[in-house]
Amino acid sequence: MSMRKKPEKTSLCPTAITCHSYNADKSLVALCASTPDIYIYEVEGSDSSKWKLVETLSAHDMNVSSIDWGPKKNRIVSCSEDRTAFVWECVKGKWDQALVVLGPNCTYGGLDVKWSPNEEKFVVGTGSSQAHVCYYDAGHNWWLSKGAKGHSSSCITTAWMPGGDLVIATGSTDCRVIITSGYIRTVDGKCANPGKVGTKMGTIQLGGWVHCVSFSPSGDILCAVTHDSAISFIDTSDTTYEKVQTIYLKTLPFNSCVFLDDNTLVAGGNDFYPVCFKSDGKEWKMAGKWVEGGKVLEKTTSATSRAMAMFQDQAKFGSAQGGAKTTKTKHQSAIMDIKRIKDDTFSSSGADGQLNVWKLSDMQAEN
Amino acid sequence: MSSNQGVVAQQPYINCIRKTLEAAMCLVNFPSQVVERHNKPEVEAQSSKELVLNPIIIARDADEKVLIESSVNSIRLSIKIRQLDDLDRHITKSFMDFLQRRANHYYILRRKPVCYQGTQYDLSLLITNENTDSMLKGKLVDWVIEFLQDINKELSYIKIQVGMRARVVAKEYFASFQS
Repeated sequence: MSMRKKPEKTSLCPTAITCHSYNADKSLVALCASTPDIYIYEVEGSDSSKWKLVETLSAHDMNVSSIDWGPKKNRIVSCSEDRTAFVWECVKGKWDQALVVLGPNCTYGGLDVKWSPNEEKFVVGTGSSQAHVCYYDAGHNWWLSKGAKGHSSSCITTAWMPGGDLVIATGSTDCRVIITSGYIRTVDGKCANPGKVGTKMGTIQLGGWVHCVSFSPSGDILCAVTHDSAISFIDTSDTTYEKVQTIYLKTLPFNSCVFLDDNTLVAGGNDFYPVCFKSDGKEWKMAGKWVEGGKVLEKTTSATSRAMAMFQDQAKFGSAQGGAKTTKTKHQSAIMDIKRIKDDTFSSSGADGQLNVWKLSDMQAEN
Repeated sequence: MSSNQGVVAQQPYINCIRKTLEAAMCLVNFPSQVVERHNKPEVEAQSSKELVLNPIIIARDADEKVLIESSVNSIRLSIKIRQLDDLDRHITKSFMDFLQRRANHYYILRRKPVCYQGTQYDLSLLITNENTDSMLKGKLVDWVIEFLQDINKELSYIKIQVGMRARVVAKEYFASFQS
């Protein structure tokens, strides 16, 4: 019998979480955690380190880079660095995957994947600078894809315009956001459309790598967070896409952003805390942040264990005050993904393996 | 290691390096976009111009500077240490060789220092997104800063020890000639 107590799990996942996605009633969350597998946890309570692992989906050879769980049809789509993507469906309690044929043009790995609003199609952003719009081919029981060209570098983020399944926005390391048509005649049928898939509708040049693009629920505003510590709000009602409001921040770049409602946006990134932006109808401004909340680790109280801890720190870290310090913020490392739960609640997952749920009411307002 | 006449105080230099490192270390995973199924540090591979950021040199003076090269998934930090005479150069080279030979224990150490724009640096570190994912970024920056602050002290300590040993050896040797 071991005398040492098993170390308590302090975070949801031992490895960095690249992205997370909830099912329809937010009772389960799927994580993509820098491994070839997808993990599904049961959401119970607000402390994510206590959540239980219920399912592991294994099919990919290399790290899964992105997942999306469609709430309407309860399907998970995942894409990986090994240039494949799978659509997972839960049939009678068992998760089974269907193949996605990304085609010979996808040579360098899928980087981001998103279901369209009606979940009949999804888009995969790839390292081959293309965004592949995928649809189901019932004849062969697999998913086919059509590529949309336009970027000159890896397409790292994608989003569908709400209100239809026709328009996608993609962001890339070539510092551009491109708005393209995602219309596929066989799936969408005859309807008013912006042209077949791949028809470019607009290009917005920004100042740094575009880490995340996100549409507001009405589809009127497209937000892009870039590596030059800027956040840009693009007015999509103007089809020349020239009305862009860019806020340059003195903090480190954001990695992810999501709209809570038409006038509220939350973003998180390399500063380890989420930030809120609000609009008064004309202009967007930073409204507040969630900086506090870091747990201070309990230090042992007995004199001998304190002395032992000091010598251990000296040996391990070269200095007596070594490892016990934590940052003021809840997250210990960069936030990689932020997802909306409700109008006033959202969750963020980070490179420290943590998943934290935040409420708008807890925000420290900016005056 | 040297006299402090006419030298900029160390603290602003260290603060500048810390801030630059915190900004440069915003790394994300990035699979290679030129070789399929590969995932390499872009600052080393230099495969695409748009993925690599402009290098920054933070110099305390002509002999002591730090080069920070950053990219989407990795950063390279190279240090040039002040060495004024032959003994300094010998000690620095031996110490750096000692560290570089054990680079796998340090995880972030590069086995060969970088030569950039004619300057041969003494030590290079390569920090990738895998390092920042498995280790806390704040701690990594702290470690690098502590290293920079202590390196000059360590090398001058070794130099004093060399002098002391030489004196003791010479004394013993010449004592044998006294009868």
